[in-house]
Amino acid sequence: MTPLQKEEQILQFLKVNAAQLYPTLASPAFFPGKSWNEIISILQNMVALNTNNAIEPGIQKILSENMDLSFIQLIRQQNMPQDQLKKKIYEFVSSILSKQEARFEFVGSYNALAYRFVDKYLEEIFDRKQYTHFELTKVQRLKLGKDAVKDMIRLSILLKPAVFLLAESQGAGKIESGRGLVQAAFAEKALQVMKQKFVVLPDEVLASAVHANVSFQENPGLEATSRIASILTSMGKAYKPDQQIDRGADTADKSWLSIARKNFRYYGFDIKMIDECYMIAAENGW
Amino acid sequence: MVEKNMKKKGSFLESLVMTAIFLVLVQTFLEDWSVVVGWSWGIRRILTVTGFGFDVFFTLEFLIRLYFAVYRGRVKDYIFHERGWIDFLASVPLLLLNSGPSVLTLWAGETAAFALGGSLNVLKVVKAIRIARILRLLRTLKIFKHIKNAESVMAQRHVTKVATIATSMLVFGLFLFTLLSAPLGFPSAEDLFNAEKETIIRNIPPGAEKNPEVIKNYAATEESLLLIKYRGQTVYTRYDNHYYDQWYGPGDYDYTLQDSWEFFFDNSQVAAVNAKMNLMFFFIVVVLVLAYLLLYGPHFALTISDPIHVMRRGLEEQSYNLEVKIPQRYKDDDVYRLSALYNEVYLPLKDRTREQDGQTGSLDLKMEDLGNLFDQE
Repeated sequence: MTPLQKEEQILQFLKVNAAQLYPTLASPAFFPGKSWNEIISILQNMVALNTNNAIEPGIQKILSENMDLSFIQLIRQQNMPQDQLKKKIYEFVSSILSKQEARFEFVGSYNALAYRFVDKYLEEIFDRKQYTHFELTKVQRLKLGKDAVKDMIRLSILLKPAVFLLAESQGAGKIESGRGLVQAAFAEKALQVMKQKFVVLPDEVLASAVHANVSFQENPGLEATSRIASILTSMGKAYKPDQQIDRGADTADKSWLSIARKNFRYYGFDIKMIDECYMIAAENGW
Repeated sequence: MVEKNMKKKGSFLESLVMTAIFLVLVQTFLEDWSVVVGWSWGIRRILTVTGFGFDVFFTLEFLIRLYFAVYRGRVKDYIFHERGWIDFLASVPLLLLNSGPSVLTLWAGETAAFALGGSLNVLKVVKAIRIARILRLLRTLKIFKHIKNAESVMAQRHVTKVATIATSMLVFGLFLFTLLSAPLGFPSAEDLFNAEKETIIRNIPPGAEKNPEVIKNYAATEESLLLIKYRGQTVYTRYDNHYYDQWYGPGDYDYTLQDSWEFFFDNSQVAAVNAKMNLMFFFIVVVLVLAYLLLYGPHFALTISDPIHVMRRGLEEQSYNLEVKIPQRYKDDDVYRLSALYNEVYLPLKDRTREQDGQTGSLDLKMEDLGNLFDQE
């Protein structure tokens, strides 16, 4: 498991087993005299601190080595140097990590980027030139090269959980727990807030990131970059880097995509994109 | 600590037994091979003694296991369910009927062998030994007991069961056939050799006792004749004593006393025929056992235990979401039809439920996993 997944497990574990753990944790050897809420708050902060220490180098690496933001210049005039832009994005991501709900959503983004899902699938998508490629180049009309499209999807994935920062505090409405989806109307409000907060990024990129949280069933006009970002982020959420594939079991990506094919309405995925990714995973033994 | 030491000792003994099983299979092969290719008596003697050593070892193993089974009141379990009957058949009868008599014959030496030949029917003893030798093939089944399939106890049990039934039935079939071949009138190599010996003795030229040259010329034409004595005096020998010492052991020749004549016949051809038969049976059994291990075992795993293992994990572990891989040619098997339901219905449902559940659905960590982390001194 990745550090964020471990954190999620630990916090869920503490919550589920509160009744059994409290007597021990409130004993003199641990946190004497503290209430359960105080204890959980202390533990949560400590766990978050450790997780941040573990993932921060990873985020830095994703930004510095795996992401080229020069594509932004191709979308709109941007005078800010890339280093400065990346620094701003990093600060923004750090603020995402300060909120628990957003942290959980960041698991998928982090895994998808750290384990290079975009490279894996987009290379194949561009080689095949089938449905997803058509959606990216003809429907969304991205006038970008393959690498630039990949960078745009990476950035969408990185910023996708930002919508959870703005959620209820902005009076925008509720997020559907579990599925991690937001209603289209909510997404539009969130997008407006993000545009104000993040003026250095083009609207297209922010829209791609925010719309990655919207169901394709609800909004069939979603950007192709959002749809693929949504799929890859959800896949990243379930991804276990050290998972051993049992004899007799299908591979991890293929299994996940097969389940996603059946649950595509529930998660708001584009079934045709899922099908294409499934074929890619099956043919590559992923 | 004591338990750990016991486990260590137990593991060492199991490794020792496993090594012995592999070595005894090599010895079983070499003992017959040496006869077929005509290795010197010195080497064959070592192999015979080694076989006796193995039988003593396995008899001790059986007795120790039986002792502990009696001690724990689990004799029935050990004999019938833990394959104690194989331990028994592959040790005690072999020691008593095969390697034991062979080694006794060795220790007693030539004189005793001939004396035995005079008072008992040597051929009957040899036949009993030969019949019992077939039981040696059951040793191959001991391998299954020690090859552990860590992933699936079921796979281990099924493969072992099927292999045991097939192999033991083959061995018992051969055993019965060998036992009943004489009453049923099938001539054995010994029977044919006996008839040949009788013919040779019957056809001794008249007056040969008075003319050594006649008996020498006659014996030279009969390849199975090694040595002839008349009234205690050697009248013909095919080889010198040094050669006999080097190449012939007690079971390699037959002795017949007829009036004042003593005949020593070369038995090695009969032994070679029997050894070839033994080798053939040995290879059949080894191939059968290997086929079960290498062909049926993986097939069972592929079609039964692996899909069940994957489904069990999926049912047990919240975050385990790997599908069962369904080979097209087996898709109509019950197991794979169940797997298809698992893939098509259960996993998607579990995935949705887990997400709806939100907080606890994907929790794989359990209180037991913490062990004594929170134990206070």
